[in-house]
This record gives sequence, C-alpha cells and structure tokens, in this order.
Amino acid sequence: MRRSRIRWLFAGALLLALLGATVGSASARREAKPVLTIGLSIGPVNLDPAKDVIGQAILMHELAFASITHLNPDGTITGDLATRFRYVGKQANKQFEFTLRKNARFSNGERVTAEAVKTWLQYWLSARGPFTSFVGPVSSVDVTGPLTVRITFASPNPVVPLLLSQAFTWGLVEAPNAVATPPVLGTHTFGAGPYTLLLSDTVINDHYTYLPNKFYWDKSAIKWSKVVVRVIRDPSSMLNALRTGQVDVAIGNATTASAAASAGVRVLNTANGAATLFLLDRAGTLTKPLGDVRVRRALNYAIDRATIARAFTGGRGAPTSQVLTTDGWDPRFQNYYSYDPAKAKALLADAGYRGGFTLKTLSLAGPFPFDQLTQAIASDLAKVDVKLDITTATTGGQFNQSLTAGKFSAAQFLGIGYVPMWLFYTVNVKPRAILNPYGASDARLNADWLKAQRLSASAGAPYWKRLSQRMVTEAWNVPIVTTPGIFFVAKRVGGVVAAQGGLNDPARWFPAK
Amino acid sequence: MASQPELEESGEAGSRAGLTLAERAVAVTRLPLLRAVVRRLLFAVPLLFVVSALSFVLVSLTPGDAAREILGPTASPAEYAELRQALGLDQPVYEQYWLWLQHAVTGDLGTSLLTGERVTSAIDARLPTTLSLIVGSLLVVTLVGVGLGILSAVRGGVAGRLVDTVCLVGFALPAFWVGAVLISLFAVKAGWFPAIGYVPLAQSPTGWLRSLVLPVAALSLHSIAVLVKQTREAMLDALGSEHVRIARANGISARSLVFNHALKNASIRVVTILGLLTVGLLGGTVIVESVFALPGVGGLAVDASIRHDLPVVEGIVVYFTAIVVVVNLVIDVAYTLLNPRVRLT
Repeated sequence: MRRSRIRWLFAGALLLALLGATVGSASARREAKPVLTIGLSIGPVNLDPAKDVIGQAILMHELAFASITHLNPDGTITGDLATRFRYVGKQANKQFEFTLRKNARFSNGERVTAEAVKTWLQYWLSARGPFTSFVGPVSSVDVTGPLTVRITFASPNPVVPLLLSQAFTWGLVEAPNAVATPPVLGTHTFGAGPYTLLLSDTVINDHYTYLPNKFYWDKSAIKWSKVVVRVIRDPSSMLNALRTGQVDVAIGNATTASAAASAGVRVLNTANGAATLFLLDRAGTLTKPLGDVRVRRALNYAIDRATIARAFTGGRGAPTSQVLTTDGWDPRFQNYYSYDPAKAKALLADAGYRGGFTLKTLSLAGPFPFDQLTQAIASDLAKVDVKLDITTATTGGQFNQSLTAGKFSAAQFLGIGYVPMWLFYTVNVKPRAILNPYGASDARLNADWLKAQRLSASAGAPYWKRLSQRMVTEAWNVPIVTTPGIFFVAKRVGGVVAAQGGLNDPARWFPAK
Repeated sequence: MASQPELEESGEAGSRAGLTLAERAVAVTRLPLLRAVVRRLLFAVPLLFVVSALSFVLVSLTPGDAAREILGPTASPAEYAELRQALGLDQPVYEQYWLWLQHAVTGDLGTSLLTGERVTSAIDARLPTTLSLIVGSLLVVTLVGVGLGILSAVRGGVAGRLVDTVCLVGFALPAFWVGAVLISLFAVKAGWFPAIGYVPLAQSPTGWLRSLVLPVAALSLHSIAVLVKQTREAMLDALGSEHVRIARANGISARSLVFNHALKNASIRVVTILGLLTVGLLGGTVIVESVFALPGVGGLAVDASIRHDLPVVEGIVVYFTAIVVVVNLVIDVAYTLLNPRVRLT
C-alpha cells in the first residue's frame, strides 16, 4: 500500500517537473528566434486571392504575395512588382500599362514575366470572385513587352493603381503553373512575396505558418524566421494571447482596447469606414416618404451621433454625417447634421409625415456591434415617430440574400469600407447598384461621376469631394460613426503604423530593439 | 444497449460468473457476441444515412448559401446566380444530397465549397485536437470522478458533504466561464500554461501536454460532478447489498470489500454513465475549442454550418456519428464483460 502511494507521488512529482521545465525552455526558445505571430479574428474565405474577400486576411496575403503596386500608409501608391505604371492611350482612364521588375520570382521558382502576370489577371477575372464588379468590364489584357502589360477597360476606371495594390486582390499575382490547376490555389500559395505558406504546419482557418521565400528579390526585407497567423475569434482569447506573448500583433476591437493598453500593449487606432444607415429606397418605391429629401434630412437630424460614438467605440470612432472615402472626404461636412430632434419633427411635418412612418431595415451582425447600433438608431428615430422594423442577418451571405430580395428600404452596416469615392459610387450608389436597388438617380451626382472618372487623380479630386458633399446635403444616407480599425502591438514589433483605412503591411514589420 | 440482466441463476451464468476477467475476455470472442457486434455495426449504416440526410436538409433550409458567403454582402444577383450554378447549388436539395451520397459511399466526402480543401483533409487535420481533448477529459473524469465518488461513499460525513458541494459547483459553472478563469489564473497571471493554441504530440510531447491541461480541466468539470454523484450512489447501493454485508461479516478486509466487491458491481452503472458523458464531451468541445482557440473539429463544424459549407458539415456528421457508434459499442462490450449475466441482443 505504502509502496504504491510512493510510486504515485513520484510519478506526480516527475510530471510537474517536466511541465515546469518546459516553461523556462519555451521562453528561451521564443527569445532566441524572431518569430512573428499575428492574430486575426476572421480568417480568409479562401487562400486563393481571386476568391477571397477583402478583410483582415489581407494581412496574410501581403506576406505571401507581392502586389503589382503598393498602397503606402500615407495614401500614396508606388510600385512593388511594377517599377513603372501609368494610364496610356487616347481614351481617358481606359488603358493602364505597367512594367515589371526584372528579378522577381514566384515561390516555386518561376520568373515573374508579363505573360505570367497576364495569366493571373485573366484567371482572377474568370474566377468571378467577390470583387470582380469593382474592376468593371475588362476588354483585354495584353503583353506589350517581356515585362510590360497593358489592361484595356470597357469603361473608364480611375482607380486601377489602387485595384492592383495589396489593398485589393487583383494585383496579388500567383505563378502560372499553379494558376493552371486552380484548386491548388485554395490550399497553397505561389506568390512572389517575401514569405511562403508551409502547409505541413497549417490548419486552414486556425493557423497559417509562413517561412521565408528563398526566391524573394530583396532578402534584407525578410525580418522574421517564421510568421504565424492565428485566427482567434473570441476577443477575450485574443487579449489573453497578447498578454501571454503568444501573439505579437492582433486585430483589436473597441471593447478590449482599454484592457490591452493596461496590459502594456500599444494600441493603434484609425478609421476604416463609417457605420451607416444606407437608405436603399431613395426613390420612395417601397417607402414613399424616403423619396422626399426633407424626410431624409429629418432622419439625419434625429440621430444623436456623439452619444452613439461614445457608447459604441469608447471614443475611438467619431460622429460623422459623411461617408468615409479616400478622396471625397471633406472635414467641413463631417458634422453637417447636428442632433436636433425638434428640427427633424418639423421637417417631417413639413413633408406631410407628422405621424411618422415605418422603415423596414436590414441589419448585419459582425465584429463591430452593428446590430446593437441599429437598435440605438431605432431608439433615436422612435423619438421622432419613425419606427425601424429591423431584421438582423447573422452572416454576410444571409445579408446579401435579404438585400437583394427587394423587401427592405434601409440597411445598416459598414458598406465597402474605406475606398475611393469612384468605387463607393460605382458599387453602392449609382442606379441599380447593390445599395440602390430601386434605381434612385441624381443628375448632378451622375454627371460629376461620369466626368471625374475620366480625369487623373488630382484633376478629379474636386469632383469626388463635390459628390461626397452633395450626398450629404441631399441626405442620400444616414452616416453615423466612423468605425475604428484597431491594432494591438507588442513592444517587440516595429513598423506597425496607424494608417487611415486600417491598412498595414506585415511584410514591412520588423523586430523592435 | 444491453438487455435486462437475467436474474435467474442458470448453470451457464453461474459458471461464467466464476471466470476471471481474462477468461471472460476470451469468451466474448466467441460467436454470439461477435454476431451482436456485427449487427450493431450494420445498424450504423442506416443511422448514418438518416443523420446525414437530416443535417443536409436542416442546413439547406437556413437562409443563405455558400455562394452568398463566398461573394460577400455586396455581390449582384447576376454574380450570385452564376456562382450558385457553378457550385451546383441551383439543383434541388434531394439531388444535391444524392450526388454527395454517391461519392460518400466510396469514401469521397468531397471538397469544401469555400476553401476547396478536401473534407477528409480538413477534418483529419483537426481530429487529433478533438480526440486529445476527449480522451484526456475521459481519463481525468474517470480517475477523479470515480475516486471522489468512492471516497464520498466510503468515508461519508464531512468528506461526503464536501464532495457534494464540489459537485454542485461543477454542475453550476459553465465550461466557458471555467475556461476563462483558468486562463486568467494559470496562463496570464502565473504563466504556467499557454492561454491559447494546441501543440501536436509529434511536435513536442510536453508542449502537447501543457496545451491540454487547462482545456481538459474546463471540459471535465461538469462531467466529473455527474460521475461523482453516480459513482457515490452506485457504491452506496453496492456497499449496502446483502453479499457485501455477508462478506464483511466473514472478515473480508475493508479495502477488498470496496475494490473487489462493491466497485465491481458499481462499475456497471459507472460504465453506462461514462458512455453518455463521452457523447456529451463531444458536444462540449465546441465551446472549449473556441475559448482556447484550439484547431478542433467542433470549431470547424460551427464555421461550416454558419457558412453553409455542406460537404464539410456532412463530413463531420459522418465522423461524429461513427465515433458515437464506436463509443456505444465499447460500452456495450464493457458492460458484458463486467456483468456476465448480460446478453447482448
């Protein structure tokens, strides 16, 4: 009896010793090797950039793929795979040409040539992924030299440099031999970026391990022996991972930002869009009152944006009467609509809706508490006798299905995030766009859009601002609050910046001293 | 499940009762039990069919589909229709299911509609995590649950009341809360264990063990409480039975009374409860995997269900049903070994 007890005690002590020994040795191993671990709360839909949505997974794609152009934190666009790029031809903004660097190779050793890039660009279009409509109709992709590619569009597209950058997926080129067997792109990476996926240490939608790409043209830019991207859906688990050093950089949120800061983690905060009550039915097809600009303005005056901003973003977002776009934003119009329920009621009465009306509204649940935000908006609008009849979609797919069902007059969500006004207008606002299903039209908005899309970025800037201003004054939507893009950054990582739009390039991060 | 134990003494039952466990183990390989096992396994086939069909229909009935998940919230109706057709989602549900079934019976569970990964690869990559959690929890639940149950029954008094209180706490506390507290105390504050993640056994045995301690503890607590109570009741019944009283009167030692007499009889109920708890643990892994960010099958199941990734959902249904069938079979066989008067039908 005594001997068996002693045996059990010895076994227990040995186990504890083994466990204890690994604590110290694990810490030592972490210090010796500069491994970067990134935490995302949402993983990619598909490793193939042609089939993935733009979201947090952009950070992963930037590790494995070099893009044709590169969007910098200050908003400028420079070359990455391309050393030179410009619009060409007589028809404004319809032909775009770029020249590739000579020494780039994909991770399988193939050279990055004009033919290889053409293969990718055409595959991306044929894959009919989520962002094909952003690019618009493409007439042709042509090779005009060994390293030169020309893209011809059916209609003007002034944002091609952005679309070919790491901010979208069209420019994240993969090797032609891999593109020839598309299914392999869903589980492997064949980009020309500084790192490449190690499938043997990857579990799809849990963690992805990247090792340095031995064919990358700038070895000095590779700062980590390994990069691990973890998908951690629960915000508390993400915070705990930061606290224990298991994650170095994480996508944060407003609810855990203060706790993260208390834990000694750097909190970077920018705006990556504006939560907006999109008025789908500006023509008044389903809900007649919305066809009257006085009613739409009344809705804007009825919202207490400052209180909502404090409640939902902890002060990290700002009230806004204007949608957030890269080139349309005018700070003078940020607070165009003050909180004035009395004025809202007067406008409604003036329009003949003193008793109010009901607005069938679609809401999307998500990491930012959009559905609770919709409830807050409903509460404010109820004070001016406008009732929101809310249906909440729990997934993007469900939201899309409901949005296109023709049953809702308004929808509350982030939209397509921080993009140029041309893209915002093309995808969301023009007649029959996804957020204008009933075909409402404004002659001045359409005229400015048609004009500006043929101009260069600098010449078009005043038009994009005018578009944004008119959308505010005509109350095309009810923007509420800018949504914060938050990064939690451990002190041992440098190069992480607070760029507008929440964009960051992990390939340019480095071990901080 | 086993039939009602035969209460009449028969020559055969009486002689089997006198066999050792090893001799009984040899006896079960004889034909009747083997036939019963084969019958159980064959029953799994229609069971798999029913469960897979039901889950296919249920997921198909929820709003949205994989095409909408892939294209996101801002796709046009035309883009959606095109992708839906490419994925075969425009076909009637029964045709989609029939197509899946035709491949599934050959072992081909298809590929994920979203990631393109083979379903078997996706599940196999995560199965070790979930199995490690379940097996680890079962071991802990058995050792601690049975141990405390015996202690409570034998000692009684203060020890018994203390164990009862611990059980109440175990019943009341949800696994996600327990997990959060364990992480806060032993990972964040003490730094003894990782807060998240799983280390494969092949990569590092000690890392694997460390990565499982807290999740197993969180997953096990409720089941321990259940098993303690059941073991205690079963032991009390056994200790109060006539043959134990006679054995005690004949001078058999207390240790022998508890472990050789009472526990043997109590183990029948314990084994049955363990079978039920195992199935419960399977469901409990979903929450624990989320709290500890573990790459398990539970998390894959939730993701696939939300995203309408039908091939993955069906694949997981097949795997889980098979596990449940095997667990029930093991329990049945164990029951027969422990109770020689039982016949499997």
